[in-house]
Amino acid sequence: MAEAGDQAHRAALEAMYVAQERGLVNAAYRYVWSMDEARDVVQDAFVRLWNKRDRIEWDRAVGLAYTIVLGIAHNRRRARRVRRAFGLARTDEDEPPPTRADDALDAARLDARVRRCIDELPEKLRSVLVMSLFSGLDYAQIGAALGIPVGTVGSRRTEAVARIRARLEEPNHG
Amino acid sequence: MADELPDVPALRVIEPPPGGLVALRARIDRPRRGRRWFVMVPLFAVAALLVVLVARPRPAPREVDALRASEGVLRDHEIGRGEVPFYWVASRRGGPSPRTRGRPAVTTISIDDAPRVTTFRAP
Repeated sequence: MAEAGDQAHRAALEAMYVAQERGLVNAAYRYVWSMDEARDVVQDAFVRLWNKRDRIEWDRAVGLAYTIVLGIAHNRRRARRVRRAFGLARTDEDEPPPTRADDALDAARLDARVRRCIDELPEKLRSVLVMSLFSGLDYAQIGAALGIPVGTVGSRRTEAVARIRARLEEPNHG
Repeated sequence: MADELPDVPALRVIEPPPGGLVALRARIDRPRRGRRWFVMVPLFAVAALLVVLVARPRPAPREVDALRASEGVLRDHEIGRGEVPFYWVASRRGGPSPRTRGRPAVTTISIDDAPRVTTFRAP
């Protein structure tokens, strides 16, 4: 009986992983800036979901998966900052992908500046921005996952974008 | 999104590396080790307690203690050179001392109801 239940949970978990992997990895990537670590974060989150499988309604679990992924990614990013402050961290972050010819330098600089702008966002803005960019969820689903009203999702997203644009326009930034 | 923020790799969708589902299955099927340290803590505490109990210094048996005390009392028995009676006063009761060649016999005198400080005066 329990085995049959586990098989159903397993099928639901795997189906969700296949459907959401790209969005979740992309969201986590905007915290840790390493694709390998981002995938590790997502897999950690799914192992946690699996361990709680008896209490999960799989048809509503996508928001929960994002919440767990962003929580783990945020913690890893913070832990890396602490290690870096003590000179213990390796640089695991992926380099920005190369661009072509003469534009390469400018494009790389702009990419690095955008990364820095995302890093500087407060967590409440970053989580909304990242989920709205990569999850494919609508504002209501994002709000439900993060525990905030739909209107707040919109206003935080707008504020996040405005902050990034403002920072990019600063002449001395980057 | 793209109309508000620049089109840079930092904001583009990236394809995750292949093999994610296979890796996830392997992780889920791996036996859980996460909370083993919860068991290790009390085990370590018990082991440490046993080590402390076994390795602690224990008092010597009473016979050895008495022997040491008596030898201490008799160590300077040559002061009197066997011509003068010599009395040692110990602060605790001593046992029979081993008789060795060249040493005079020792008679143990005990004052069971002696006060805490007792003064002896030579005649």
